[in-house]
Amino acid sequence: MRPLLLLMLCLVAWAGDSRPDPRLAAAELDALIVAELAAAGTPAQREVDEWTLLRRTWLDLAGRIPTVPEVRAWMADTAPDRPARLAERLIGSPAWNQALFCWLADLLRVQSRLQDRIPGQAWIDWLRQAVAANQPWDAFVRAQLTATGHAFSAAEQGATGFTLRDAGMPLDHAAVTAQTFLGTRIGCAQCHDHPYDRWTRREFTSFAAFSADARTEIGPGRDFKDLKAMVEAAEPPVRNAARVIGTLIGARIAPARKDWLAAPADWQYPDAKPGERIPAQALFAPVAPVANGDPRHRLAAWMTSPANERFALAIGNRVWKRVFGHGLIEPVDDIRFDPNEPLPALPARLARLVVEQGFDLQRIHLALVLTTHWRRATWHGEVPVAGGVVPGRPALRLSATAWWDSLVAICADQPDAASATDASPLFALHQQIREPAAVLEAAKRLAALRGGGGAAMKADPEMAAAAQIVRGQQRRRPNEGLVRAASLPQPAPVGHPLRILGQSDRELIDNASTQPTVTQALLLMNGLIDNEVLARQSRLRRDLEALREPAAQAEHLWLALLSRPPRADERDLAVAEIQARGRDGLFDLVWGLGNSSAFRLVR
Amino acid sequence: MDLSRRQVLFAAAATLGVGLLPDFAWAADPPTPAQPAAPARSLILLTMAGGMSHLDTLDPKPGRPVQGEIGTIPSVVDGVMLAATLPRLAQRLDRCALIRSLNSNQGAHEQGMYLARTAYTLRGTVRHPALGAYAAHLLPRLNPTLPPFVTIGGDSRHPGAGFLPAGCSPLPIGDAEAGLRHAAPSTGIAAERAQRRLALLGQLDAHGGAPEAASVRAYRELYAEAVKLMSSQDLAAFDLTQEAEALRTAYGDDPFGNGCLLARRLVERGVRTVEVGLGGWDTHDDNADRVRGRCAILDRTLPALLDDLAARGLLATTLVAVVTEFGRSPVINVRDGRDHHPACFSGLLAGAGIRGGVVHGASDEDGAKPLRDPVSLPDLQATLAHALGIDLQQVVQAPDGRPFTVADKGKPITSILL
Repeated sequence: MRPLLLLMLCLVAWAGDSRPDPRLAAAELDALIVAELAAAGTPAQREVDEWTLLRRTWLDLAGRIPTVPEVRAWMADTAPDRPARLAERLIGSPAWNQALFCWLADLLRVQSRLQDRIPGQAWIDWLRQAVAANQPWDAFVRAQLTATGHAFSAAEQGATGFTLRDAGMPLDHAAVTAQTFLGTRIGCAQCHDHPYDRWTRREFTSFAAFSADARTEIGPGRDFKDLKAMVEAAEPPVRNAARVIGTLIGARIAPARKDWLAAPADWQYPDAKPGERIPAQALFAPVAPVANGDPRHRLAAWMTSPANERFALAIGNRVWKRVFGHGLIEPVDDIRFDPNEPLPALPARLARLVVEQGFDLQRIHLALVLTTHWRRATWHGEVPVAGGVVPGRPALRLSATAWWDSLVAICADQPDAASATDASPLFALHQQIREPAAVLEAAKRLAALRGGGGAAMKADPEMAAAAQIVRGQQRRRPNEGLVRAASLPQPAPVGHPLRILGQSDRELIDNASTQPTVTQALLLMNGLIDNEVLARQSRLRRDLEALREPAAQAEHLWLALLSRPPRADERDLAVAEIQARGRDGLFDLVWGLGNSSAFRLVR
Repeated sequence: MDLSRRQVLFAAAATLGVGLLPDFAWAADPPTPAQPAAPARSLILLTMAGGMSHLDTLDPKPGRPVQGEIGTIPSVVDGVMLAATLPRLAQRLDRCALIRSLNSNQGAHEQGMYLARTAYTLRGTVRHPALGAYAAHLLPRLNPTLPPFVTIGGDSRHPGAGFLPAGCSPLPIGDAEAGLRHAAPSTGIAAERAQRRLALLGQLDAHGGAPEAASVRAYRELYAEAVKLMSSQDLAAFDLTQEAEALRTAYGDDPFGNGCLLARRLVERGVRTVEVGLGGWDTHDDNADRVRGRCAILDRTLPALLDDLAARGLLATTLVAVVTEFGRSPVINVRDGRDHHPACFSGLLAGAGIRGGVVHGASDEDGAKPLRDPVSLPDLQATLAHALGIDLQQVVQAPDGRPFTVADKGKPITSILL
């Protein structure tokens, strides 16, 4: 009966879309997963209880725990398929957008301030827009690999951020590109044949030859050749400001023309001589298409081709880790399969899922959370270090982002509110400035803001807004309260709770950490819970104070922090504490749950 | 392992009825130096993140085209020149040992710094402990309440404790000037209530009833450490305002200057290892300008640290090391920058157990490759560990039973050790 039901569901739910129903892939993946576990002799865990699944669903798909009203809505829903419907509703929601942004920002190393004074805000805007529009992964990657022109001339130019992030480092950028989008580490082969993997220095150089000639520029360029003398005559604050303005109007990527790289002078292998032209070449089959013009288009076409299984597997494996807690291949960016051999069944099916769903990240996620495997109980045993199927969900510490965003869900009235900052003040400046005198004029305005205080900012709000973005700050709404990680500066400043909890500094790919530290324990014991969760304006505190009954307060507390009602023994403990010690007892329970291992883990 | 090999050889010699011929000796393995009589108590590790240009700092090549626009200056040590970016350090080189023949096979930042910190290559399958974590694990704790390992201004993914217990992981301080935040209960929370809270937390965690995951255990250990730290008599160590203004100015009022001053205050109170980071060395463009900018900081703070430690008698017990993940290319690229160059770079050691005024190893005429006495990052790590009195032969097992040794069989550089 089930296959028939499945088929009917397919017809109803996905009519009008040529892509196969994600449920079909989920069923096939489940079969492969069970076979793999059976072969390893570790039977799969049973399915988890629905409370655990609720919290897992929110954390995996919304990047935060649910609010009390959201838990109550779940409790009121009595339909048997409520887990699947919740997952479908969360995917693509504003909460999902915030979480996916952070996930991609860690991967791409997004910063509010890129190197050489280049503001990151245009890239941030572009990324937000791509997430909100659910831009397919292949198109998303192509846009960034081929971005050309000025960074701040228009909103769609934000895609230049990926290359400007590595301005002046074309070889490193090639290594980063392979690691980011192909899950393949070729960086070692920049100087010598890779010691542990297959890549040779020649292969690295051929790969880098596609993009190395796309020069990143950070100065205003030829049209502004009088600028230098004008700036040198100015006062030091204006000179500094002129560099900032120069970058705003100058930061750009010139199209690549050459599709070869000369072998460096220290070439040590017989496969080339120093100075010899090494032509651009794909790392593995299929071959890159032949075309005239900027060779990066050939690179992008090859990389994102549906025939390029490694590209599909790399993103599929990343989503797999995000959803199941542990990659099918670990580390996720160190795939070692021989690209000339067929993939094993499970990775092959995962790669096919990505392609058949049209590189749609939302539908790839949906397919994986529709598996039975995603609903399995917590696994406390070993996980395969080089990646693979885990019999259940590994008990992991919340990521820094999920931890912070969950606190925001507890404290804020609108936890998923979008950021109030965008790069439009920079685009406006870019439009206005056409000649050296205008650069100097803008620099004077910018310099006047320094030390001018609030009055200077009021007098020139346009430049004040631009200056704020250049400094990597975010505009705050009045009485905004806590905002999620995606709406904070990227990354949050050093010393911010997010950083203490292990947020990536965005210097390296996926550089977040879940390592426990004493600093985190101090922050949670003596800062975060008292100062934010129990602050007067915190939603939790207001709600708790509005409830009078200790039992009702206890229930609210457990729903808010652990996304489930208290068990009887927990309720008794809490009620006794509140009755004995009043508000102190209530607040200490908040402190206790906020510091508990149940809060810290996703199971 | 060395011992068992010798035993095998002796057994073989006896069976064959021959004596041990000189060329049969283990000449390839220089004898491990005896443990130092007075090991360093503490290590201050200064990590120059991004890849410090050796040609423009510690290993200039006067008169060679590769030298670029940064000139060279003599130092107080006869015949040893430094780049003109480090005039104050040049005046103190008699207290320092230079290594000019470092080399690595890791040309990417993450992999390079991981090797510099752990002496092992970054692998997906295991996380190796940083030297500071090994020191915390293997050496007695000198201060019962301050953590034995502190990092200041480091990056977000330090290898930390690696596979060692969570208690060996560093206490990360993001901003030295802000010091250790949240070290006292929040305003209005008396000691008694803080105790009550901890008891309540114990009850709530016990009610969870789930099997204890490794991550749960790790946090419990660290909460215990945190409580210990809150009660420490030495919390004042983190308060830089207790220092005289003149000294603060000498160190420099920037994150690195403040970090080094904090490092001194911590080693003074028995913290074993303090790592202070100075980033920004990835000078792919405008190398000369950028290196000058970095050196303006390094050449103010490092001499101030050495002087301050010496004045307090701490230089005799504190080892100071300047390390980086790789050097930078002799070839200056089209953007006036230098690219990554793991084949040859430099480091500097000073203080406890270190012979001053010596140069170990040399690079070739362009600083492209070591000319003699090449030193690997594991060798450098072995030198530091040996100076701290850590037994390099001791096998430490990871939880999965795999054996590791501190510095991964690197050989200490005996010529620079006292």
